[in-house]
Amino acid sequence: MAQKRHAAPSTHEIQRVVALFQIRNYQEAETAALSLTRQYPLDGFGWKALSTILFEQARWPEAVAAGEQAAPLLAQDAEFHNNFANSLRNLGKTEDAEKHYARAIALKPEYVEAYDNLGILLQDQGRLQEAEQALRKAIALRPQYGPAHEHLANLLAISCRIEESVESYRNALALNKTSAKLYNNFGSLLQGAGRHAEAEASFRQALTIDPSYAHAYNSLGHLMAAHGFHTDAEACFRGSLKFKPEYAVAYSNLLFSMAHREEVTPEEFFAEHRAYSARFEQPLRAAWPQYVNSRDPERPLRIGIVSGDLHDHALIRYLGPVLQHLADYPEFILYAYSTDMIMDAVTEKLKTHFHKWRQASFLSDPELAEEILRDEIDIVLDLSGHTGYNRLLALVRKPAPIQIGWMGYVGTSGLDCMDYFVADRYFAPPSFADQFSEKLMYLPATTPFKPFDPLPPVNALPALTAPQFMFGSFHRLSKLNRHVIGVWSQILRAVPESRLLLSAMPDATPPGHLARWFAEENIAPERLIFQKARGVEEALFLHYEIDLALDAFPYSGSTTSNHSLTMGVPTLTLAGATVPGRMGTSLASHTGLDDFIAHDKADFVEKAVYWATHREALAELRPTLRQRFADSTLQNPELITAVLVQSLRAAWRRWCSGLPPEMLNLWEASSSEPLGKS
Amino acid sequence: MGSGTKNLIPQSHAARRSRAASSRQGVPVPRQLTPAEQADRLVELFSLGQYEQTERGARDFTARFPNEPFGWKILAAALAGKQDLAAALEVYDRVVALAAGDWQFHNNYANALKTVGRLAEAEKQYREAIVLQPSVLEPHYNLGLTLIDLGRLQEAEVFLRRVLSLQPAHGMTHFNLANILTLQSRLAEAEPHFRQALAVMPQNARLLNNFAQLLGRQLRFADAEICYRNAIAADPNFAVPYVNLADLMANHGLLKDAELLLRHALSLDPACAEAHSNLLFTLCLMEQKDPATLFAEHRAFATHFELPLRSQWSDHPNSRDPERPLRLGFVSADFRDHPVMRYLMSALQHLNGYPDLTLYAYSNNVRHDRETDRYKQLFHHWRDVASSPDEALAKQIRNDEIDILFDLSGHSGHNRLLTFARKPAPLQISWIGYVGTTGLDSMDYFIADTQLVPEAFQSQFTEKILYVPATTCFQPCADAPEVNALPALRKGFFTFSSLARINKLNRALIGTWSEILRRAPESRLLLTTIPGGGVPRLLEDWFAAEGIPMERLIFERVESVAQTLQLHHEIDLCLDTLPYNGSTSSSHSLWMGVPILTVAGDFPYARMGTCLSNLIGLEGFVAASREEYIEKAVMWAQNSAALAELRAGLRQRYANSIYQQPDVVTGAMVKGLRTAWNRWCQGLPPETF
Repeated sequence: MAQKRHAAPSTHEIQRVVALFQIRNYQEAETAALSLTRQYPLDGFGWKALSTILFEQARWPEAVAAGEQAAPLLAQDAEFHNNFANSLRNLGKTEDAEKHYARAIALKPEYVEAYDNLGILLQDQGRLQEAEQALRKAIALRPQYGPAHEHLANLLAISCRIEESVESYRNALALNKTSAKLYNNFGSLLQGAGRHAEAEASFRQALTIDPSYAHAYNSLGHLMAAHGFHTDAEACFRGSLKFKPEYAVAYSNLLFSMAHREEVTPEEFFAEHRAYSARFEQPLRAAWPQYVNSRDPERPLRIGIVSGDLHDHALIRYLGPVLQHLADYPEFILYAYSTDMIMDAVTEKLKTHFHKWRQASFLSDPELAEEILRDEIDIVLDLSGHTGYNRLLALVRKPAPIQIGWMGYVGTSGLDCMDYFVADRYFAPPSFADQFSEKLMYLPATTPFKPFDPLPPVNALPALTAPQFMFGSFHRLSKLNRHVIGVWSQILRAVPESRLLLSAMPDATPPGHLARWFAEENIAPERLIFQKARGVEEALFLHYEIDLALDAFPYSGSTTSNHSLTMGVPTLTLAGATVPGRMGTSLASHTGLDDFIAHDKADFVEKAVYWATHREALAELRPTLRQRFADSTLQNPELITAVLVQSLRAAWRRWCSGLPPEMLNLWEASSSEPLGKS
Repeated sequence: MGSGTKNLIPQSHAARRSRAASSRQGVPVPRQLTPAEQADRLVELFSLGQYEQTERGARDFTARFPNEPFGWKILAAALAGKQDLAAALEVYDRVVALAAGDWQFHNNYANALKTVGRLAEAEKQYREAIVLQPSVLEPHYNLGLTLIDLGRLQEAEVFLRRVLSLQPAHGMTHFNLANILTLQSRLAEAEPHFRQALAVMPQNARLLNNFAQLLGRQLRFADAEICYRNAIAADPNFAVPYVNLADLMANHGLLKDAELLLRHALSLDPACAEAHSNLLFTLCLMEQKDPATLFAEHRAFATHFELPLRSQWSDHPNSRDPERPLRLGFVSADFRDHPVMRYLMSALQHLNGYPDLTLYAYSNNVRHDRETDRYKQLFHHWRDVASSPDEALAKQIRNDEIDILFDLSGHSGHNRLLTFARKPAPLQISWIGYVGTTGLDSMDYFIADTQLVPEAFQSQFTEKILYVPATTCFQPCADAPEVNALPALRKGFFTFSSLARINKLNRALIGTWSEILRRAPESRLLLTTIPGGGVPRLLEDWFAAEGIPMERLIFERVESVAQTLQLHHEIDLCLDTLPYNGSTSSSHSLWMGVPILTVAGDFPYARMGTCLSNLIGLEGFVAASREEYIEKAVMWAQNSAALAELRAGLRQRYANSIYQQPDVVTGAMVKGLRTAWNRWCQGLPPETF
């Protein structure tokens, strides 16, 4: 092919740009490259260099613009096509990017980086098989190319091919022993697979490499909290925040972990939530928007539900029945903001309840806030609080005139932007008001509960035939702290002919620290049965062996206790001084099981002993509990939804009149019936 | 408009001059303050606002030094300061020659002149000040404001821009400049000046209010709303932004918001008649309430605004000769390109042909256009009254000895009901502008036909009804497109439509329409967007609440009458709005061959559709109830052939109807006016006939 001759930069000029780029002096490199494009506009080098320099500075649109200048000049340059595709990919122009990767590979069939990049692009589009092929091709071409192993490991992890992913991580780590990020990601995979000891080692390795790596601190804290080591977890989260103060996820994790610690007073707990507000919310307050929402108190309202659990998740047992009944109130127009990426059959079913479904997982916090504002949502219901996938950093921008916390998190958000917290009077009695930055909005029950369907039949009390009385626990490990083990051990000592079944363990073998704590309490190992976590259905069958479930504290059980009750097994609970400790109390109160509410630890032991020694009474109660539960307010979603609707309207009317939020108790105001005794 | 004329007494300067004067004259002042000290003290007293003491001191000073201008200047300033402008002006007029070289004197003099309304003289004095001292901003600024008051906006602009060249960040100047640019519809130019004014005065409620009005005119509705709310936040007791925001809300169909805002505005400023009028119009648009309640709201207007004026009503000197030529006055803000033209112009053309009638226009709008010139030729006398206060306008009408005064606005925008409330003419008649009672005792008649106001509705009026064969005639667009074949025949689905503005839609109506859409599954509903495009949020939510998917709805953006007419080629049947019917849009529809399905309602404004259909013989499109309205709509959707036939003959039918016979209608009206006049001559009260 005959090429027109054109002026080209000298070797010296080229070397200068390359050198500046290599020492990452992007500012000067950019100036130099720009000058080359002016002097030699028909030569590709200047444009290519400029595009690459802009790419390194994350200035995607400009990088693409420069690349477009180079494209006709460098049609045969594989490296250029690869770089240009990277810019296009970052700009979201996936189709164009794919073409240029393909062009790069066509020009240079052994182009490892291009295959690797193509793999990432395909994975982002959800084309996992093709992505895997591309990545494996890169590895086949150059087995020593670490990034491809890492990317393959990620891909396998999200495909739930854990063993293969572990293998890939090991390959990547063998090639790159100094990447803290790699160790951190590997650790998260291991933790997800239940291989906690290895996960911990991996996190610690990440921190050895980079002692200021906030993400690894957060990961380690998360692992510690999952094991109930909340003091260690706190140190990790605080470490994470020390190195990265704007890391809100670590702060939320810290708060959630604190909820599990008996030593933390309600005042400290509240103060720490307010500190979160001071750090993440107060700087934004001045920029809170003004609303163009019509202030007509009686018009249809747009309700935005922000949740990361709009799929097959325990939350659906609470939210689902309400959504169904909200269909009877067409003047409440529902918008979903789904903040995680999981979509399953439950998601598809949920979508039918919503007028608009917004996939919010790809939106940044400001973007999500902007979207909610643009949708003119009147009331946001946040179903996450400080738990995972929360989007509080969107909500602190106050995108809706009224924002309400519900389900999801057991307590205050600590934020000024949240106006109400939905509760019932057992869960958060009015005396708890000062534990909330929100005003309390009371419903007959905080949420309804939808039992598993089909439920296995309830059996007779096993203790009537078994030689020993069986206590049970279905709590995740993070709720089982040293104090809980101490109190349970007291019970086991006081009732010699008894055993304790601990379900929901990460493994069938007892976690080391639990075994040690029980040993310290002189509880013989044979009195303890450890069961690995199972699905809901298997967990229900496990109740055939249980006489009485024991609650944890200060963070009580909720879904598990509800399931137990459907199987005729009451949960002995300790009425807490903070909201996390009130779920068991709320359940027992609603179902008229006040005899299963202890007021202090001594009372807890005493009541456990009482029931273990009054098996006939317990046996009589057991067959009645499922019905009693079914008759309670908790399984009356129609009523709960009706009061919710009235309360939202009342909150809305207040806002329309320019009044601040106020404690709303429409249910008790309108009803002289005692609650939960139906 | 912002004002801010301030009298100026420069301290050191004055003191220096008087000191020099005293030494020159060599007057001994034993045991008294020296003249310089006395001057300093006067300046101090003046700057503290102690005008009484300043005046005493200044009189003492002028007695001792009658040739020293300083004393006169501060004396006049002190008198003006205590609001004794007559005395101040007396001083200024007397000593103007003495103080001729002091620009401040001229500036202060002009301020006093401006305050008492002697604007032409004020202008002269400001110009004198500017000649003496071209580089200070006060006289430029003050002259700019004076020229605004004189209505000479372009000249005002020159002087205000001069102020900005002297001081680029002068907030009030930016504000006033923005205002006059807005008045001239130079919106894009006005905006930067509003912004610069806001940079200086971010909390000025009046400024925020005016800026919000600009944003509204630019169709930037959300920005406008926020700006109004900022104005309210800046001064929660300032009623104007509530009234304007209510207007914005009502135009978006948010009638409840509008009602609440207007009631709040009235609680802040009970004298704000505009808020009350707007409230009444808003109430008419809202979902059904009983006629008695609505009537009571209108009577409340009279109690607030008319009753206090009744004691000032005086006898009219008009000669009580029943056969003499009559002077008819017409008060309107719509003598321009406005829908009212299609009703009014032909009537005026015929009235103009009666030799015994002299026609007076009282035009209440500064906006003039080509149609205004056409109107001007139909009137014998033309008065621009937009800037005259009600008291002055009433006086002018009385001086013109108007016999019969027409109100063409009722409670709609830019009305002058507070002029009517002063009863300037012996007979006062409400017509066209508003479909209901004014509620005023001063309004003698309401012109209507028996379809619009059946006998049973007379109790909804304070006025007596002057019946004519048709309330108005209607002049269709000469260049309207041809009527096409029924679109349903080619489309395969039936298209209902309402081209009404969203403020006539309401929740119950959407429920009714949704029922029609449910019962006629092969149909769609064509509606209009908000100005500037976009589906109104309110409609989206209402239809969502009814379970009607958006695919059944078609939203068209319509920006001109021509577009509206053309759009009828896509429409099979128009659904009237309930309770507040369409009028102009319905007439356009009929002309385009599209009938309007309506319900005969309990209010005049709920009868406009009935009136139209009955008078052109389309009784089959008048339902007695909502249920029948739904049934008829579904029935027509299933009878395309019959509808197609009707469509083809509709324009001719309309052309043959009473609506196209302004000579007959005007003749009947003139006869009615003469009868009404006879009654007045005999001292009889108004009576329905």
